[in-house]
Amino acid sequence: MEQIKKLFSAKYKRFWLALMFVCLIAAPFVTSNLQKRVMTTIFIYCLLSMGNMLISGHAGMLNMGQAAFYGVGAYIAAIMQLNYGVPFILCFIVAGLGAGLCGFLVSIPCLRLDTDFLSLITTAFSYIFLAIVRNWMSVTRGPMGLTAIPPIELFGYKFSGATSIYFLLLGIVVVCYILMNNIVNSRIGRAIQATRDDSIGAQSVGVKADLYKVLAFVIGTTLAGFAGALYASYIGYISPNNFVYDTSLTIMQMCIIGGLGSMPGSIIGAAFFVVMPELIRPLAVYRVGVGGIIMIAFMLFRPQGILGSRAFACSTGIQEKLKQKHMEWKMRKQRAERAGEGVR
Amino acid sequence: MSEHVMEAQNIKMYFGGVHAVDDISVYVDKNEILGIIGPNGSGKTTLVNVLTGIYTPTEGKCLFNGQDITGKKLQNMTGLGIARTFQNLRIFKALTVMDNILVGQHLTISNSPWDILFHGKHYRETERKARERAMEALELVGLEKNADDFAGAIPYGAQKRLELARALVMDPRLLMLDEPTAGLNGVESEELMMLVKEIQQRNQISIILIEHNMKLMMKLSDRVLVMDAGREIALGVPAEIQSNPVVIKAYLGEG
Amino acid sequence: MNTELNYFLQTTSNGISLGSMYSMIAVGYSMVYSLLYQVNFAHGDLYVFGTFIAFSFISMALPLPVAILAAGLLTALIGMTIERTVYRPVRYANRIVPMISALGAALVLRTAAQIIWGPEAIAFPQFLPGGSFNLGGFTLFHKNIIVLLFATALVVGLTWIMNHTKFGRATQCIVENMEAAQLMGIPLNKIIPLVYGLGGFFGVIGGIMYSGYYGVISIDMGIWGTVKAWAAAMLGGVGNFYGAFLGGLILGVSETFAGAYISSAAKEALGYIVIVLVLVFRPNGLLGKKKVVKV
Repeated sequence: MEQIKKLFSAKYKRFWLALMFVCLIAAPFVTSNLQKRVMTTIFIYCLLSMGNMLISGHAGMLNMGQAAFYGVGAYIAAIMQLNYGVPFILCFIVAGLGAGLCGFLVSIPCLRLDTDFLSLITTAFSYIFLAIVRNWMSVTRGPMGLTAIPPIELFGYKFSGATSIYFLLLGIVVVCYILMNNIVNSRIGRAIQATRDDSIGAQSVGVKADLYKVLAFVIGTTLAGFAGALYASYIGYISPNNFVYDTSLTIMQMCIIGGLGSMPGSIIGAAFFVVMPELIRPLAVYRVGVGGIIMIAFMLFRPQGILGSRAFACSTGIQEKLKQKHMEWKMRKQRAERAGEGVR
Repeated sequence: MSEHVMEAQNIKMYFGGVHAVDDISVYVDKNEILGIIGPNGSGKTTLVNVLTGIYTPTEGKCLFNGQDITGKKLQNMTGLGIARTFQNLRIFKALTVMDNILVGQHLTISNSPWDILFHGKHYRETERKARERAMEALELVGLEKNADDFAGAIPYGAQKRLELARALVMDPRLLMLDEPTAGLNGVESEELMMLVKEIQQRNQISIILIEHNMKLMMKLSDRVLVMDAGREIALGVPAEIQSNPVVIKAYLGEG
Repeated sequence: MNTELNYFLQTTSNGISLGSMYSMIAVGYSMVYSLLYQVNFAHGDLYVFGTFIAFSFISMALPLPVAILAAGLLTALIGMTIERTVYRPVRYANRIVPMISALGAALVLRTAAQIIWGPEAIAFPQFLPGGSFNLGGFTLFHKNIIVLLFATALVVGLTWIMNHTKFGRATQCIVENMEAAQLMGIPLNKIIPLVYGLGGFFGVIGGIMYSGYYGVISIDMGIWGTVKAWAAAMLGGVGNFYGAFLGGLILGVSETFAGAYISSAAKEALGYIVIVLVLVFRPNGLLGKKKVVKV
């Protein structure tokens, strides 16, 4: 056990990263098209969950509307391409900015609110967004959705095959991951996390708490916008059903199971929640329920998620309690032994 | 203009009908430790909260080096050179001890957005310096071994010292300590206060200190302000305070 | 009476009915929420499950009051079981943890409902009496009045329970300060499951009213109900039953009016816009107490 732990220590981090990278590069050459599509879906969710991780994990503002920001990006990109024939790269950027702007607007009222109210506001945004896209027939074509969105084209190269899209998205995810990680491990990231842990404490060291909350929200939702633009062009069809509240909840779950406050956790969480339903597909109708049970089991036995830090979960959950009980039992036993010695 | 480091002029802080701080005027000079004592609920913490901008006073003025800072926000105080600790610990529990200190250097670390995104040379340089400085601060309070532990996981006394180190790393000219020894045992509080005194003399800073431990207070403070029910009942050097009949009455009862 | 006014009155009465049903669901939610300050994602799926049970009982030709009561009690039991297995072990953990385990419980309940009753929407017997009063051209349906009366009775009754019974006072103690309550010898592990049970019970009554009023039930109503109940409870102010009642009414009336006078799109969106506006100007809800942050 110790040796296994040692293998995953910081010393071997570079080795594991290199190995993972090689696997990711080699993967499309040995996998089926379906598997490639699953991987690509994971990449899109990676962007979403990374964004949400910054907002919910690092800034501590439980964002229940990530799917709506995702949708804003997707619809902006799709409409720009379909109606005005704007090149993809521009749509991509505008989609990110548009979602970021929405994020900015949503975060402003959130500054005055407690966690739960904030979750409610983002939930409300999610539903308002859905109501708009479902009913603004002339632009979004309502529940029918937008079809025939052209595939991604960059500098004259069309990304239409599964492999090419795979590599494009892999590249984007890697770049975004590095940037996000850099942000988190910088002055800004620390300020964001400090604000989450103690807003007044953060202000007392000169951190402009409100500014960093808004900043985290804008960065996180911008990523969702990017993901939306990519998704729209990748699938070629979007409808309101892609951006329902359940999707937001799934993204939230990815972050929590991955481990709130851990960027790599958001990647693991995304992979987990895309792959798990595929794996338990044979369970058919029981699938959702099994997913639920897995979530409950996680919360009971590892509330900090796969990679989250114990400190963040601040847990006195079942594990801690068992540990405490064990300690008490040990102490009682020792005391009893000592008493026994005394008698002798 | 007299050069008091901080001067409070006729501060009044009312919450509805509650007069938490009622007409307090006090000043701190350079290199001076001003102690504030008083029974619980006498408005000591509220006074400090007003001075650090958490509350805007109902009436009165705060001057810092002659500059009017009344109504300035807490987050802007650090830039002026005012740092504080809190009665009920406001450390960042889910960050490591090291990161806590690095957050304390928020204003001194300057990075462009470009640096932050790509971790360029300048970033690495500033980060290295910041870490060195943080390590010095941690050594000062004896926490260097805990640098990588989560702040929420270290013992209470260590957390108190961590908060002090976080305040010190900001290079304040005025430090406000709100019950730094609350919850510590006798030896620990003695050590902590000796540390405070040492730092104060070395860095030539002024300190406003709220404390219940009378013995320590009298030993450390240059002057002491005694509050009761939001009002000043005495202000002077420790010897005076100790023999002041009003103070004795307030503390020892009518007998 | 002119048609304009008639339409307005009709919309108002419809809105109040919808609002009453929201508030019935929200009251149960508010109860649980005020206790542990936990966003309870299972509430919606729990009451929908209970409503399905009621549907089965009614199909078995059980008398209506018996069916409702039995479904309510069964749901309360399920609610208590969920509390015991899913919430209690994580009660003292970071607040996100119980929230997510509740979501897990919701998914399990939803799947169970889907397996037993199928994924499609089912016609629910419209048991509310169909008669109406005619007030000079304006028809006021009996069922509108019944629903409102029911909701009012529920809120008044619950508030009475909270203020005048031993159980209610114990609950309030826990709301105020859980640790102190425990030290005073209030049996947390009896009171908290009971509150969860009661929350489920009243949720089911709201759910049955809703399904009886509109004549439909489906498993999709779960997450929808959770969000509506959450919104109504927060809108009115946490832990205040009159607040939840008021919040539900505001939500129902504003939605119905938007639907009647603007468009069906506005119907879906307006309720949420109202919530955002209210929370921006009153961050603790309409009747909520301001929390004092001690520095």
